[in-house]
Amino acid sequence: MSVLDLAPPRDAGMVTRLWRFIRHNPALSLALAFLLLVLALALFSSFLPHDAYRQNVLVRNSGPSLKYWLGTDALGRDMVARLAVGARVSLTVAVASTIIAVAIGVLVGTIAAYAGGFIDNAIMRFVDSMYAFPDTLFAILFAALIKGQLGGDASGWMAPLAEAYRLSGGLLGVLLTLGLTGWVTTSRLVRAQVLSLKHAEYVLACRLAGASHWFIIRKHLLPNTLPVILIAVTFVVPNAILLEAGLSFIGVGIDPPTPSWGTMIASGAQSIQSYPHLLVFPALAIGLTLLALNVVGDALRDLLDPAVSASRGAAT
Amino acid sequence: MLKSHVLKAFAVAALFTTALAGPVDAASDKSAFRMIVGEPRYMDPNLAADFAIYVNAQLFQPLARTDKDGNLVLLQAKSIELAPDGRTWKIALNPDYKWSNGQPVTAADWVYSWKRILDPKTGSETASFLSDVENAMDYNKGTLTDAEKVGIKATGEYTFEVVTALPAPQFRAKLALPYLTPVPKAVVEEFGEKWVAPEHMLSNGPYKLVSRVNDQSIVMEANPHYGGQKPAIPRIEMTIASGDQCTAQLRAYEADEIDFTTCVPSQDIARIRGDADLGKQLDPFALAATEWVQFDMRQAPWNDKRVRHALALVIDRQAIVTAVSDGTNRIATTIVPESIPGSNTADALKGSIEDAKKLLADAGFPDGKGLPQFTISTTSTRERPLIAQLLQQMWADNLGIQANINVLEANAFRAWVQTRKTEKYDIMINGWWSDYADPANWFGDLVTADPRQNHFTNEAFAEIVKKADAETDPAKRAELYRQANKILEEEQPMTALQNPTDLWMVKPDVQGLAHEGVLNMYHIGEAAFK
Repeated sequence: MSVLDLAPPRDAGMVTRLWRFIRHNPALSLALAFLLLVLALALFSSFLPHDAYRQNVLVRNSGPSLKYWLGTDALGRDMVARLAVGARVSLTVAVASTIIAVAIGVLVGTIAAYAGGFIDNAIMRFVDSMYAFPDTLFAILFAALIKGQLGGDASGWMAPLAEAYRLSGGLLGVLLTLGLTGWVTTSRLVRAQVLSLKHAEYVLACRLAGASHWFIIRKHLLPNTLPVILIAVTFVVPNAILLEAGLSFIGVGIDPPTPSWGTMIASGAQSIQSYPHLLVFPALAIGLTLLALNVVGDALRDLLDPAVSASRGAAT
Repeated sequence: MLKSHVLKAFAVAALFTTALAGPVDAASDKSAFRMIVGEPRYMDPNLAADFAIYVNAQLFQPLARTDKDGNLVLLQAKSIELAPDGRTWKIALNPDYKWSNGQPVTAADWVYSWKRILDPKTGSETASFLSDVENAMDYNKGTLTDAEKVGIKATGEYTFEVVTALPAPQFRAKLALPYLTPVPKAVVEEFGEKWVAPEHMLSNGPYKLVSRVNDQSIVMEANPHYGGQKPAIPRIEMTIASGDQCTAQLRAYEADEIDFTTCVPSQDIARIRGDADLGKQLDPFALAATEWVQFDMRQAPWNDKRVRHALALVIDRQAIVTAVSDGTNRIATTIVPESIPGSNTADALKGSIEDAKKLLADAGFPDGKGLPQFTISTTSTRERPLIAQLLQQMWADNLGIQANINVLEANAFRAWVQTRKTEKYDIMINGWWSDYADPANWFGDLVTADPRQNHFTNEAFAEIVKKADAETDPAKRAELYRQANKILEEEQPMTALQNPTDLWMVKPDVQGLAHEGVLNMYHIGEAAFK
């Protein structure tokens, strides 16, 4: 091990490396293309030929046709439009809750690792106890609590929160739930990374030079946990999408008429025998999105993990 | 080595197959009637208040039942007479009816059972069906501790009397309720709560309980001492399903695993009706029930009649009935169903969408402006979320008003409704299923007693209902309820949407399975395999 290896990895030529990486990886290209399509649908759902909320009971439950590409639901609403709006809900939930979760995770992980000793122990035992809970169960408990507190008639300081909850159609509750339950793994990863960096020689040198804790964390520790954070994101996001679907499926998530993939699957599951398209399309949407995210996550890990990059470099 | 394992596996498999062959064969030569039910909360007929009464009705029998014209058809009773005072019901039992161990069903069993229902220690939800009885409610609330003062007493081994506090003509229909059966006094006293275990339970109906495994199965066999027509089907095998009963039933029915379903999931109705074979097996029954949308009558703007009328007038009921039941439910224009005396569709609110807009403007909300965004609350079952979304769009399209929807899981919704006694709300979707075919069950038990937390108060209405409750002449009584009906529809505290229809499906080789009473009871003891 040479001294040079201890220096933080440089990201020179990242864009060209990335582009080459994508071109040589067809699965990744497909996955990215699919995610871009989902993103485009979510962003531009209002330009689709039908409105996601417009009901027409005369054409309810109709199968895929030229007019309705993926058919209509039990109230005659266009499935394409609903899937697109559902994508917006799912992606909003995923991104926002990931930001909350990762922020908490990074904060907790960094503090635990940097402080060490009793604080580290206390925090990590708490994290362990969070781990002991199955996350779905925890999310259900949490979501039901939020719905119970904010879904009814809140007063005092809760009133504006309850109003926001009501206007968001339950979205706020799901966001908070996923954000507040999804940070545990991130905190562990970040802690491990910070622990290993804490004793790196350039950090020690910095500390000897009289830098403050905050300076060290900001300048040296956080930037170097970025790869770990990115990797954490690649599994927090799919997990959030899946959990949102699960929560909406059992009815503690998004309220109608806002479509989310989870609520669409829930109502589709009831009509599997008579109208399979109501279940198949949302299930496909969520399945393919998760697959694509996993492919991207894997690729990102390959790209960012020095060990894998090195072996890849040696092989070519 | 491998071969011997394979042989062993085959031997085990063969053993299992022969073990399983018993019930499978039994089912194929149709000696057992197979169905799926939900886990009954109580097997004790004094406590069963939910769908468990349908399971219990195979085991326990009331005094009588009501036929289509409202006349009593006697079962366990030999005669039911009302004394000239209009309050004392003299009941003579038919001694042919016996418990499933051959012991006679005596007046003491009946009196014990009904007082047990009222006993506050029992905590039975069915106590309200005996509320007309003298001192019954005081005893039930615990303000009267002497059970002897309750107006139910045995006058002989096979005769007993029930005295109501006031002349109560509707009590005749209540005497035929499936909730009011006897329990074997000696057995209940000996085993306490455990008396419902298969090894202890005695029943007076066509079947007796043979086995019960919690959350798995209930098996019944013909009661050899039953006093009525002996059942043609000797055995009933009920499988317990959790979750959505309708879906579980239909899937098992289509797989030929059960002989009977009590409902069809909304999403499958169109397919079943369109199917040449399955369509013929559908057996619809129009219920004396109504589902409606109701307003919190204590809150502005809902306490303004013009707002309620405006919202009611723009509802397209046909769209609701079509979307949730493929048109098998019926449009309801009045809260009290047509089949209940006193109701009349002529009393229904009339007006156009233009009228509705004008009313809303008169109330201070032209084009819906200024009306605060409100919430429609509903349970997650019975397709109510669909109804909520339809209403939301109808109100937005026609009146320009915005609503949110709050869907609560069924148990959570029930609890939420209870707390609305003191808490406020905007609008909720709810319903009422007739327990007995009498206006008192609607104007009294629903509107006056207000279990749905509608908070409708109207002096004229209360006055008329009070008078009608004590009126013994059926024609005068119906006329009084009609007046009450007019007030109810004019005030529109709730807006009727639809009258639900039960959709049974019965396998073609089953005959004689008939719909009974407003509760749509089924009696497997009266059916037979072809």
